[in-house]
Amino acid sequence: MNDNEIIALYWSRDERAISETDIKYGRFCHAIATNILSVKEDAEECVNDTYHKAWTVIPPQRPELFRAWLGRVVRNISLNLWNKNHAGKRNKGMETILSELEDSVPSPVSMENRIDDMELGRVISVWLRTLSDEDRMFFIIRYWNGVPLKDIAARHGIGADKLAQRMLRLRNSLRKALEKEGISL
Amino acid sequence: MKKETEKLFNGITNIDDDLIESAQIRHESARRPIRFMPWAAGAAAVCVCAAAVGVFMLNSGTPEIDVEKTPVTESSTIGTETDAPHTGTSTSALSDFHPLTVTEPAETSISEELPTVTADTASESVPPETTPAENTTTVTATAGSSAPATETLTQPTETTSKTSDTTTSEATTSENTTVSVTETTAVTERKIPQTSVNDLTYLAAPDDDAAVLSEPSYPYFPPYPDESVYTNDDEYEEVWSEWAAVKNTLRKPFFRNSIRTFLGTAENENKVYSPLSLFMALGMSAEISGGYTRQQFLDVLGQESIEDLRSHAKSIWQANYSDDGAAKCILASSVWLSNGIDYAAETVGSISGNYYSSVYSGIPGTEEYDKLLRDWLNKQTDGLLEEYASDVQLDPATVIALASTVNYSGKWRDKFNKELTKKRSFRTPDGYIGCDFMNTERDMFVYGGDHFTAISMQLEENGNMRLILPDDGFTPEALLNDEDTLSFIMKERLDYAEHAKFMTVALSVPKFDISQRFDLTEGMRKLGITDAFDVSVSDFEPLTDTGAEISIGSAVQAARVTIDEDGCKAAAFTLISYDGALDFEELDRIELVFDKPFIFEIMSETGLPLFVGIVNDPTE
Repeated sequence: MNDNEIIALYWSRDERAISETDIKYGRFCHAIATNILSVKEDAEECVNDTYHKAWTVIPPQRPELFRAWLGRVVRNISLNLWNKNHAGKRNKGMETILSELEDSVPSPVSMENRIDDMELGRVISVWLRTLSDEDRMFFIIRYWNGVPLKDIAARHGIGADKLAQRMLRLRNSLRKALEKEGISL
Repeated sequence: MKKETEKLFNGITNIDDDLIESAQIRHESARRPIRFMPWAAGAAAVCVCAAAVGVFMLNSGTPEIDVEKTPVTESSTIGTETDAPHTGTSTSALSDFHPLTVTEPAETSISEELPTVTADTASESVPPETTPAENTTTVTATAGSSAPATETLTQPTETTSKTSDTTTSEATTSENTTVSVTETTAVTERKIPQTSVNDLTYLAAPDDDAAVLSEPSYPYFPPYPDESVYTNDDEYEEVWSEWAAVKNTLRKPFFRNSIRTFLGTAENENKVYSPLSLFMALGMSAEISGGYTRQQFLDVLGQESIEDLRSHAKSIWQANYSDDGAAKCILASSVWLSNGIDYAAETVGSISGNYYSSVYSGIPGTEEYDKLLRDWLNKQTDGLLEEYASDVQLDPATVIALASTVNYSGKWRDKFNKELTKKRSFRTPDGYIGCDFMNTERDMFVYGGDHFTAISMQLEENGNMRLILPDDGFTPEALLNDEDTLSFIMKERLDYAEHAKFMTVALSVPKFDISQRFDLTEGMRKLGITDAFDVSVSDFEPLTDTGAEISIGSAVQAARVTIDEDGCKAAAFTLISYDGALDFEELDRIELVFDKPFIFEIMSETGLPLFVGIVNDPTE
């Protein structure tokens, strides 16, 4: 079933919308949640919440790229759960991602330049579009999907060390791009 | 810090949907690691060295050459007459010209070896006394009683004298080429500072009919800013940022407009055009011009300033250079000066430094100088364009000529099985013809544009070839005037992911070998370069202050692209002469047969369109 057909099910309030979403994108959503939370049960909970959210907001929403939309929802829900839980648990996946992203945090500039998450997303998108197709894909798969470095390296047939070095440079590049825009986080 | 990183994490969450979608598709379509295959290197070396024009250079029947023993410089593979003739200059022509012996240091880098003076009988010898640092290039032309063009170039800072050993070596080489050296004529020596031609303090022309004034000192470059060779983040960052900026700049007007201008007009012909080659030639043209004449070049190239252009040209060279035995993409350029004219050293030095150009001087209109130019073109294009280079001549009134070349070869990542190649019909604009179609069935992305269907075939470590089949009712030329198609060709739109479907494709593509030479002048005028054609307004003061009225005399480009079961080979020269994966579902299957006129595009590994063309008749 294609995305338009699935979304049409949501709009017609047909409950098959959720099962079709799970068939097509269940694996994708689970992977994102697991990459962030590292705990299967928590990931399962997040994916279910994602389907619930989809059922709630479609309609009136009509996502153009359903996969990206779902991924964003599952990412947000997973992050919220991580924030709620991580004080008491060690969570390797998310901790690693955040510790890597420290490289990209720009030096503080001024309060006036603080921007909201949506605007920050747009700035990062502009930066991503300056990258080669491959670098852009690596960055997104690592920091949006949260796929571990070694898994990306294996899939694309390059050395994990080399990829790690490449990611470091991408993170530094992002930091410089944000600093150039005068952005503080 | 945690708060900031979470903020960043949230920002990343909100990146544009199309970026996310494209990344998913690309990631999921990566099913197999890319490995370097030693046999591929051997076979690809054959591509570089095989000579017979008109024969596909990638076929497995070509004798193998040991890559380890084959220096990258093509001239080194040109040996005796018993070898395959390299650049195609006929043996009979030897008696008409002076054989050249090129002596180079043994340990020079790849890039240093590239720009050696070519000659149909050139051979290489390695003087044991020569150290790499000396970088001595000796070019000696000898002949019988005919007018000699003899030049020795020495690049070390100390004066180098011609030794008897060298002379002996030349004699031996000449014997091998069956040309009898009866006499070594007068030798002039010219010292050129080793550092760079920017340091040239004079450019007073020599008296010889044809001579090389300087050759570029190519640094060693990876094909793309390869982080593994940089130990310093800032250094890599600089190169990488520069490249990213260049690529974005180039996606703007020049490539898009020029593709439409040069390919989107005349119908029913095979066409092939190299935007990159023209970019370089026009870039060099901007260097020699001033005022509004220069501004027009900059505007057409989409550059804000001459400094931007220099920096971008250099980056293009660096980013696209590759010659690793398995994949090849080489850009080269040269400047051809006229004896008797004093040139501004700074201008010529700037071209040489920023475009890695060789600089030659001679008397335009003489056979010797024309031959040197033809040899250079043939060498840089592996003789693929000999048909077009053979009648290249400089007008006696030439003040300066600028040449740029692109030489490309690559092997399909998934080769076609030769046994499946079959004859079938191709519908040309004039009727049906029979030609060889390569056939395969494979899983790949199929892109659906507004008026076309397209696929992309990967070349090992060297970009890809995209084939664009117009829908019924549309010609390739019409598509090139269509914004949607141009956006696809320029890779401007990322939302093609939405229109891409991973499918099982029964693919049938004709083998083709097409070439074209065309006059660039009308297209250049259309693009906005007008002053350079009109002596009453043209400004070439940066080149020479002799007050000569200079304008473009001719501008041509020749290009050729061949594909067969193993891969693709392509070359182009531009000469401007100035006178005075988605796998969640079971895949659908389609049959895609390129049996009517279609568009092809060779895209470099770094995403620049190297060649774009139209196949109206694969058998021409």
